[in-house]
Parts: sequence; structure tokens; C-alpha cells
Amino acid sequence: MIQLNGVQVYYNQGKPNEVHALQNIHLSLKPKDFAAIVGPSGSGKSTLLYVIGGLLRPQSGTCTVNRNVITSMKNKQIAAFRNQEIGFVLQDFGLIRNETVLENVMTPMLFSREKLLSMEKHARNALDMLQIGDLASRKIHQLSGGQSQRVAVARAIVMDPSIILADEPTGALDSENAHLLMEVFQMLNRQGKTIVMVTHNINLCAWCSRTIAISDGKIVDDAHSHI
Amino acid sequence: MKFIYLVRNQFSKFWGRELLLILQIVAMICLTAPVMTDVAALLSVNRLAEQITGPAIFMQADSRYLMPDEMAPQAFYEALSRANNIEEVKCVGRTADATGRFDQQSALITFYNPALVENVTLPLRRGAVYFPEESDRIPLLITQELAQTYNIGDEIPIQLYFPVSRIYAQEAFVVVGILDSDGYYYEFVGGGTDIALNAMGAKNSDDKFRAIALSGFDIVPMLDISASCLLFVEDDSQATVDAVNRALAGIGSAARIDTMRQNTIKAVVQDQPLLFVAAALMILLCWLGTVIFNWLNMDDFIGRLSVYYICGMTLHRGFFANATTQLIPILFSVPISILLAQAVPIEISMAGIRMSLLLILPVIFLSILFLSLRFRKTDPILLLQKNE
Repeated sequence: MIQLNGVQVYYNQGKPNEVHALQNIHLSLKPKDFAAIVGPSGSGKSTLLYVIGGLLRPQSGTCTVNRNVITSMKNKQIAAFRNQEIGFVLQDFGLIRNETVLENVMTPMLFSREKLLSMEKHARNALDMLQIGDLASRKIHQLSGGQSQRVAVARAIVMDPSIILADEPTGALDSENAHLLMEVFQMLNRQGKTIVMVTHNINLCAWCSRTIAISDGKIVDDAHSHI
Repeated sequence: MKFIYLVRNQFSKFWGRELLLILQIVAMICLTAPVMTDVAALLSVNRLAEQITGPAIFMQADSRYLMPDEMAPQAFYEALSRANNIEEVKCVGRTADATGRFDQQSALITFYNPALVENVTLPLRRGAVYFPEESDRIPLLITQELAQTYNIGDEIPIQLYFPVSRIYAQEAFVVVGILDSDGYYYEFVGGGTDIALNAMGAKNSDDKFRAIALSGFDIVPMLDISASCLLFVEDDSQATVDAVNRALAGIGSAARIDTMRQNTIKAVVQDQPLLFVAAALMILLCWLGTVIFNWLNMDDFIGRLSVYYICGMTLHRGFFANATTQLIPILFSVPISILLAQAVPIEISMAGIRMSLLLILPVIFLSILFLSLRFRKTDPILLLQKNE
């Protein structure tokens, strides 16, 4: 369950270049929702994702995720929350290029209570689930875009979080790989994960159960559909 | 274990960058240690000068390490005796040291003669220096480390080695005071220490217990002054200095302590100008190298920071992990520097090496400062926002 109440975010507050990125956002997402957040560049959709993911603290309002009021948490608690509850998938994959696939997937477990010895096993399971177990020993720069994004998804699910936040996950992929990635997201959603995806690509909304349109920091449309 | 894994992942390929930094630091220490050895001697003279209670002249002979080849100890003692006999000189302050055995460990004992004890304020934490007329025990000042085991009044049997007769002889020492600082130790050695010890430390002389022994049973850092004596005088005018120098007849040279300080400063620069310039350049190069190392290291780390951040790392932990990555090669260079500095074919004292090691502090300071400044400007959100 994700609940945002009166969330306001400013960038460069009090300066001449102040931007009111999110304006009094009220939003509720249920468990197992597969939501797309759409809107033009600079509309605040990624900012909304960062607030939900505990990456950005709003200047006012509250954000509650799985009963955790993350807007009132301390930095250390928010870091633990990100580690346990959220999996991030980014447009440029957000992978460490000179490390292997396996090492990249193990990264979130470095900040968890998981023992070092069992980390590799969990990482391999995540890779197998996404059918890229054979890439484990490859370096990231040896992978294609589609493979890299699958590795990013494997890293996002390795801690078995309940929520996956994806920021333009298909932005660097061709249509075929974008389609494959959406199938992966759909599979994860069917397994019970809440997925919130920011996208420019309106066609991808067809994969989602809910489409939230945002413009100038405000929610301008919120449509539910059944897929 | 995970922290080690995290730190290890941040090292450069084949440790090239880290090895280069270690090499720079080691080169800096090895090049500066000879210069710092002279500086350390100067500082020890400065410290001594503050503790001398009356006028005194500092007399230097040639380096004691070279003396056996260049000058017979007898010639030195004769010159010293002539200086001592002139009217203006009241007495000669001297030290000698001895090796020995104590509690099945090797021991180093420094003897101060009565003139030194009377005219120099020994920094004592507790107790007092005294000359027991009837006691057959040698009064002893101990370091604070030993004070954890022994109290004032305790007797400590020590086997002293007498090199002339080549025997160990057991002597009874009694603790009369505790030094304020474990590092307190002035070494004025004129001529061979062995001969001085037999003359001063043994009990077969006319006067009983003329020496006060300062113990340094484990490691007492030596503030090494080359072959030297303190001549306590009525006044330290130029006429007195000239008279002493005439008596020494070229065996050594005497000067007021402030003159000696100035001479030492000049000597540090003039004796080995190439080494001095090379050391100065190496310091600058090493500091610059540290900044470059930090820059590259941080660049690498910032590439990972946003990834680590979204995966659940706090910025504090990131700072700590990156700082550790930067400090490990610096700390690693310390033992290597100590080992290699001792192999440099120039006379180097431990005090000089220790002072050279202090040059690592700015390296550490630079690392932390640089890291803090770059971390302050680094926002993982901004790194992520390039997507939007």
C-alpha cells in the first residue's frame, strides 16, 4: 500500500530558479497495482517516484509505504527501507560497468543482513528467474541493452521487495526488448509485486492496470483498467 | 566481511593507483627522513635548552659514529678535560648509555652525571632525584610504562654489560622518580659510550653513585644529539666560548645554544642541498599525487554511489567506505617506509623517521578534506535525475 497525502516538493527552494516539482499530491496505490505514471518531461513524474522510493524527502506532506511513514524516518531507516521494500529499475540500467553481472545483482545484499556466503546463491536465483543465469560471470559492458535491463530487474528483485519502481525502464531499449521487459514486469506483478513505472511511452500503459497522468507537478488524470 | 568486500571493490584494476600512491609516500619518507633526523636533533636541543637552569655552552665533537676512525677517544677526553679546567667552566654535563638485561629482556639505561642532574630540570611526574651517600643502590628514574609495574622505592636488579671487561655485572637500582614523558631522553655522548659507562656507571670510582640512570627498558625514543657535552659556565659570553674553543684545540667546537641552533638549521639545508631539494619536491609531489588519487578514486566511487544509494546504502556509510579505501594505501605505506628508511645509506635516527611519518598526516588530512568537499557536492538524486 502506497499512500501520499499533500506531498509538495520544491527544487532550489527560495532561489530564483525555484521549481515546484510536486504540488499537493494525493495518491493511493494498492498492493499488486501495476501503475504507469505518464507525463511530459519535467512534469514531476520521476520526482514522484523518488518520493515513493524514499530517495527524496518532500518539503511537506506524508508518504506512507507498507505502513512505514517514510517522510518521518531517519536517513538510516530510509536506507534500510529502500533496501528491503523497494527495487529500482532505471532507464540507463544503473549498473556498475566494470563488475560482473553476479556482483551487480549481489549489490543490494551488501547493505542487508544477508550473509556474504549466501549472497551469491540468492543472486543466481534471481538471474535464473529472469533466464539470464548464463550471463552471471560476464561484465556489464559485454551485455546488450536488453540483457542489461534484465540484470537491473534481477538486482531489483533479489531482496524480494514488495514494490518495484521503474523510471523509464524501456527508454534505452528497442521495441522488442521493451516488449520482453514488460512481460517480465507483468510476470512479477502476477507474483504479487506492486509496480510503479514512469514512462513517456503511452503504448506501455496498455500493460498496466492503472495510468496516472501528471503535468506541472499535479495529477491530472488517474485511469483504472483491467488487463 | 561485507564492508571489506565493499572496500575491495573500490580498488583500482591490479591495484595500480594504490601502489603508485604507496610508492610516492615511501619515497617521501625515505627522502625526508635524513633531513628530519637533523631537524629532530635540533628540536631536542631546543627542548633541552628550555630545561637548563643556568648559562651553558654546547660542545660538539665530530659525529660519534665516525669518531673511532678519525680520533682516538683519549684525545677527546684530554680536550674535554682541558676545557673543564679553564676557570669559566664550572662543570661538564654528560650522559652515557648502557645495555643490560632486565626481567629477561634487553634493557637500555642512560646515565646522567651529577652535573647534568644538578643543572637540568628533569621533567618528573613524581619523586625526586637524590644522591644517597650510604646506599649501595643506583638511583633510577623510570618511564611511565614501567611505573605501572614499579613504585618509587622499589629495587630493580639489572645486569649491566661492561664492554671493556666484556662481562655482565648485576647492579642494584632503586626507583627514585617517574618521568613525566616516556619520550624524555637526551643523549650527550662524547667519545665511546662504552668507556664513558665504565668510568661513570661502575661503582669502583672514588665518588659513590655519581650517575643517575634513566631507564628505557623497552623502547624509549631517543632524541639523538651527536657527540656532545654541555659545559655549565659562569657566563656564556663570547670570551668564554672562545676560551673553551681554544682548550678544545680543534677536537670539537663550542657555541652558545642559540648559535648552535642556528648552525643546525643552516646545516640541515647546506650539508645536503640536493637531498633537501629532492625531499621538498617529493613532499609536494606526494601531496599532489594524493589529490589526484583522491580525485580518480572519488570519480570511480561517484559512478557507483547512486547505485549503492538506491540499493540501500546511507551516504555516511558511503563516505566511510570510500575514506577507508583511500586510507588503506596510506596506512600500508607506513611500515614499508619505516623498513626502507632504515636501509637508506645515510645516517637516520628513529626520531627523524618519526618526524617524517608526520608528513603523512597532511596526506590523510588532504584525503579526508577532499573527500568531504566532493561528498558535500554529490547528490545521488542529481545523479539519478539525468533520466528525467
